[in-house]
Amino acid sequence: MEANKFPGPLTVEDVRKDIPLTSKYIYADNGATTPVPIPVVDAIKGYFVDYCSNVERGAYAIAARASEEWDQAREDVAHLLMKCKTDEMIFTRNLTECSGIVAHSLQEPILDMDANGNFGAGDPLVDWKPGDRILISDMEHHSNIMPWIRLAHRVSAKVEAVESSEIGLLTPEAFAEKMDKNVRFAAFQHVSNALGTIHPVKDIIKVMKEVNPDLLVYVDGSQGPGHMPVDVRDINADFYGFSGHKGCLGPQGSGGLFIKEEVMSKTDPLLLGGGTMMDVTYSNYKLRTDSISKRFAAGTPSIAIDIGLGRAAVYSAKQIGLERIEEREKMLSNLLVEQLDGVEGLEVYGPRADEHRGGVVTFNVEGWNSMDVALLLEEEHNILTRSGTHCCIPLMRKMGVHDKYGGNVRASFHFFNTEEEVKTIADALKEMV
Amino acid sequence: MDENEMKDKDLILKILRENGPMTTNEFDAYIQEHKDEIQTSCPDSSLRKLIWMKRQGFIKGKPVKEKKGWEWWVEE
Repeated sequence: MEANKFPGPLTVEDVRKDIPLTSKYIYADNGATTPVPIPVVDAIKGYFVDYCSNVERGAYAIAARASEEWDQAREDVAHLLMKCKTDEMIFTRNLTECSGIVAHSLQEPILDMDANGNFGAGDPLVDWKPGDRILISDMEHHSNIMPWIRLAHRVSAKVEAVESSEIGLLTPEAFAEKMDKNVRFAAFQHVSNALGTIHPVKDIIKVMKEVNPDLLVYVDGSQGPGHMPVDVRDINADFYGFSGHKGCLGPQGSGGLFIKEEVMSKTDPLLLGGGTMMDVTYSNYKLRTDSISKRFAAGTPSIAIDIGLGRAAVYSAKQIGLERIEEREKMLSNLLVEQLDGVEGLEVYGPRADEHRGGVVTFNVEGWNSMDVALLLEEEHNILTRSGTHCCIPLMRKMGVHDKYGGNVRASFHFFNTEEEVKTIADALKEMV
Repeated sequence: MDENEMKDKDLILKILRENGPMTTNEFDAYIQEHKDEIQTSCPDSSLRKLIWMKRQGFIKGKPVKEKKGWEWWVEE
């Protein structure tokens, strides 16, 4: 899509008009999912109403249009949200699915037919040996822990968690300390969903790959793309996954996985079937070679959802601007931290320094279960937050808030939130204590 | 809620009837104590079940600030 097709940049008021929920609630649960703007809904509806047909199948005009729109969506997501090539981007349902695809590829070598017509397994991405290690961090979401425990169990490797700092920051030093050549794979988050810290992932990957240049790294970008500019090539991740329904303002059930070009050609697709192959017999098959990334689009994809994510990429990156989103989210979260810091009876977690905090603030009210706090914020103030363990039970235990508060309460902002809303949240919490 | 999760409805009603009004923390503690007998999922789920029961009209719930939490009960 052309940049000049849209008037811009959009103001906060413009975006609020595009998201009708914002007139009814103080929506501060963008870390869980973001409400979808009307232009994204319109793009999805447009597919169903105007050109509903399968992609990469039919020869008639609306089928061709569906394929073109789907391809365009993938290009927009790849170029705008991750700054990678289109053929390095796979549509997924969410980050969790990304982790599953990566885990499969690390366990099974690619099965395909070579140029001589021989069908068999290629070289594995990782040739696992006894004593091999997988590094994660102690802050990960369950979706970035459980797949690696299962993988480690199946390949006889060991998972180890690198400790975060007191403010919940992952540091290159901590990872360097744990590194040796037996670390074959590492998986860690870009931004914490539980504390809001933005980790220096580029520096972390750099120090790790200095020790083991063959190391493969997967970054959980659930809270990254859409909330801020991300350049996966610059970060030097081998895999980078994200959910489209969080920062990106895309539809629920959308997401994407970047696989570095040189890795993707050796990666075995988790699912096989229509759309993934060049030829099939009763005893073997040849995977398609025209688009390596489309090997991963087996069967009919979620066409409308993917087109919606593409439109959301344009909306957030071109019509609002990722730098503006990042700057505003930081401003709002810092404002809330300032207002809550020092209030007796309130515990506020995570970093204070602006450079390390994204649009997430987590806290607890002394004596209250975190779930009860969130319920009360909605009941009395129409404030929507997330509470509980945030799918990060190990981290909640480490922080000492699991048993004491049942986790913590999270206010997570997006571009459309306002300073007045932040003040209302702060006042409501002060009233509680 | 699927059929299996629906079994929790009767159990929650029984717990609240036997124990009288319970705060979220008290309810959570009860679930933890009896977790061998009660099917559970993640720790966040017990409150979500209470909310579902309240929305369906099976139980009542309201914030009680003196108790620093929500209280849940069955109105007979």
